[in-house]
Amino acid sequence: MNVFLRRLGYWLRGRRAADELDEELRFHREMAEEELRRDGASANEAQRKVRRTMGNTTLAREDARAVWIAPWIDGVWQDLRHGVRSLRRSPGLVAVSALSLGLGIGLNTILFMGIRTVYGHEPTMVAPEEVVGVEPGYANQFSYRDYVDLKSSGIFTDALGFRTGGLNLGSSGRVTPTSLLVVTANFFDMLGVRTQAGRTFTAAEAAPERNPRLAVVTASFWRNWLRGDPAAIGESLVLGGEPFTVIGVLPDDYRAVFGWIGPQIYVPISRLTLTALEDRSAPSMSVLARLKPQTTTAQAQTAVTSFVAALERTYPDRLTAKGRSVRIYPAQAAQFRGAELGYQALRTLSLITGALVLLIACVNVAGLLMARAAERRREIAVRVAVGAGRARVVQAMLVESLLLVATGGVLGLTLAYALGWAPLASEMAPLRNAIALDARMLPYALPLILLTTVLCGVLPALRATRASVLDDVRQSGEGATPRTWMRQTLVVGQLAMSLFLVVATLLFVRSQIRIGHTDLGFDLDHGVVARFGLDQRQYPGEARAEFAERLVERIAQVPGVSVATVANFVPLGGDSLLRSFHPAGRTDIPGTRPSTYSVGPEFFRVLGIRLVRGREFARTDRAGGAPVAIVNETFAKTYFAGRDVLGQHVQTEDELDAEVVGVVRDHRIGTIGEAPQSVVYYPFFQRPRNLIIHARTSSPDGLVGPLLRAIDDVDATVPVGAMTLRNATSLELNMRRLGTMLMGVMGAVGLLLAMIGLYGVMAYLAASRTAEVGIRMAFGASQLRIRQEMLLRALTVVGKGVGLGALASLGLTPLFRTFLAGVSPFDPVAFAGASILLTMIGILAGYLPARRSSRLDPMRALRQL
Amino acid sequence: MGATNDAPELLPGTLDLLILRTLQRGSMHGYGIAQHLRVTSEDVLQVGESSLYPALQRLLVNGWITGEWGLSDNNRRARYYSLTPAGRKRLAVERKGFDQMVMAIQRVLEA
Repeated sequence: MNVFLRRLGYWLRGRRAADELDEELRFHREMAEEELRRDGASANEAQRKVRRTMGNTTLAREDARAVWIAPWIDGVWQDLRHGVRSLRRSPGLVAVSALSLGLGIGLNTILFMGIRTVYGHEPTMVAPEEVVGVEPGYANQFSYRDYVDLKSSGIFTDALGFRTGGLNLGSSGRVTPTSLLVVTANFFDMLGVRTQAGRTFTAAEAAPERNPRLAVVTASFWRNWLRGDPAAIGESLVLGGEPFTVIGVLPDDYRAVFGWIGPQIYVPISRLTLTALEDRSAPSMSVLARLKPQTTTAQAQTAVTSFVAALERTYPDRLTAKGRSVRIYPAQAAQFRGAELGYQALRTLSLITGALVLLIACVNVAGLLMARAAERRREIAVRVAVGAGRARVVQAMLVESLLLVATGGVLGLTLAYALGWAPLASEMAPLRNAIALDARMLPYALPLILLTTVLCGVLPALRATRASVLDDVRQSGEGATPRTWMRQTLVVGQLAMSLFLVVATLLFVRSQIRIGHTDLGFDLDHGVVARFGLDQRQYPGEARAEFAERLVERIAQVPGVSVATVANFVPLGGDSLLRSFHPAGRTDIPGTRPSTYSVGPEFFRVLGIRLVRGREFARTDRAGGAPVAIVNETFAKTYFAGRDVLGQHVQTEDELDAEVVGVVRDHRIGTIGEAPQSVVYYPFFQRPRNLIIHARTSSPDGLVGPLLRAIDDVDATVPVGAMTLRNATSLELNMRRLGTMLMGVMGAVGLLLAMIGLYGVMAYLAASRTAEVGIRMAFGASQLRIRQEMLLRALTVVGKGVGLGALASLGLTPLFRTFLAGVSPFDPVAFAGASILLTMIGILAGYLPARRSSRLDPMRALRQL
Repeated sequence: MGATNDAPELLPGTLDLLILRTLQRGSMHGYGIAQHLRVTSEDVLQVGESSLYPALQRLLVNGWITGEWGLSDNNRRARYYSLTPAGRKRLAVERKGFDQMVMAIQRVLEA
């Protein structure tokens, strides 16, 4: 180790160490000369004699230097300088490879950053290995009462609960619906999270029975809403009409347990923030717990299982879905609960497409380097002949590729950085932070650059140095056809990869177009939606039903509204809610979870959802009337296959046993691409919930204003926001647009790079056959014939690439099934479209060089021989 | 290639030993070391720059000797080398190895 450090020291002192050595040698020589002169020799004689006896000074210097520096380092330095010089002479090569690699490396760096943000999200917590998520089995979440029992059970050191909630931010009238995280008082203490300003809740002040009106906010909320002002601590935020005092600001690097995007306001749990606080049958809180030292997950699992069993014995009347067991999982995984498959699919998609673009770029550069190596065969052969080892030549070529890749890398990172400034839809703002570029991307970019260097450089270098030295010294670089098969193979692979990218892009684009025309099962274009942000004290129970009725009556009179109703959800509006279901009298069907919604009379007419059988809810279906339900076709098929579902009884988790009076067509609920889901609808007036008014009209855009004014006529103090149905469902559409854009960029870049590669190979093939073409034309072959032949060759390569790509795509596209709405992953249009596009590009790439070589002047071509 | 005027050839590795032994008497510059070797060997060992200086660098890098710039007898700048504790230990080891080797060779020659 010390030896190494000393060596490094010499190397760093470089020049000075060399000068000192020179001085020493000079001193040595002069002393020797002096001594000879003392013995009576003349100055000249002495010099000559010394030179003879002292030996080769240059060699002495080199040998001494070699002790300091491993010779290969010196070699790399030499290669670097040589590489820069020789690349400067080939600006075309540098431009094409920098562009290819820049796009490849830039895109991949951004992808990695995004993936790391979304998937590598590590929540802020002390000793994360001790923290686990707990699911009781009868549901994914605990009720607050059950949570309190679990916390005091002694199974864990501590346990916390949280749920996402929504309240309106601002005072009456104009408000912003805001999501917040409702947390137990010990939330921050258990995780060990500190604030950057102010403080977190103490257990005493945030106890639920005190109805604490306190809030802790994230750093970005503090900056955007509270001016980033330290004095903002102590100010009030009006949430759901209640003033909440801001007591703390979380640190900038705080990462929430529920994922990278989410609520920015944390409030303590209480009756203000969770209605069902005392209701044991309302599982409403996700629970994280800290394992006791020396307790394994398995032991905790056993303990929680018997804890839950005891609960079920104590509260036997509670409806539970048996058949699932308690789950204990690492808290780090909490953010992906419930959507693991979708998340994984998205990650796979990004990684595959990113890798393909980079590979295509590498193939381009490798191809160019091979062509360059072929031109430099003589130079390489000479270097080998004068004693450079094969390893030394390979090293020199790798250094050259490194230079190319580094240039591309710089360009790529610049591109990635520039993208950070590109305009993004406001909903995507969190994504901008996610891909914001800084030093954190170096751990991705640097290995990527090294990997790319190896991918681009090794194959050409090995091939270039394999050739027989003698042959190459003797002849000039011409006429080695066997070498081109390697490049052709690479191009076939490249075409196959870009075919896949194009197929995937077309699938996404077609799916996007299809969404415009897709049958969502409801009518997206003739609705206006008004969401109310009522808190628990505004219009509770019966009063809410009465208020809803007055609203519907008033809105139905607004000119342009043909019919209006009330519901607790907007399809595709992010309101899906799963409940366990039991056909009356049965509690033994595990894993069946239909959505349940409350809808008013004529809801299906308003939304344009077709009634298949039976009737809609009527105004008479209200509290006190016979409990009724409407189900969708999938529900009927799933639970009552082969039987008439009308007149059957159903019962979901916390509802009454209800008679089915109608069947409606399926419609999309959560996502456009989802598989049909089972749904049960209950009459809004039998169970008034969140209040959303739906109105049907022929011109939604013009109706938002009049609708709000009509609502003000009924009660001007309630918080409400109105928008067209299309806008109310736009988050998913935006996400899809982003996905399609991403795929589009990938596809376009992949295609562009493959074009460059193909053109390069075709042009090179044409150039290396100049002499042959010349001879043949001299013997009378027509231009047309030469051109046809060249084109045929291009088509063979393209054909192989397209065929291979189509096969590979058939295997890969099913991975994206979740993202494709209404388009089969094997969509023939996308496959045919991509194949035709690539073939045409192939013809073009083949035609230009073909035309050039068919116009050759045979005499000039022959003279080149 | 690699021609030196050392006559006769030293056994490989012995130059390091000789330098270390020479420096055991006190610090000395490169020319002094060469002189000392020549004089004490009665002109048998004539060490050229091309072996002396690489050997000195090797010993420096290994930490067996240190070099410090000072003034020579005739007021010229020269680098004086001296033995480090590690170098002393190394000398003992090499000395022992060398003695064994010489004895072994002698035994073979006289057998």
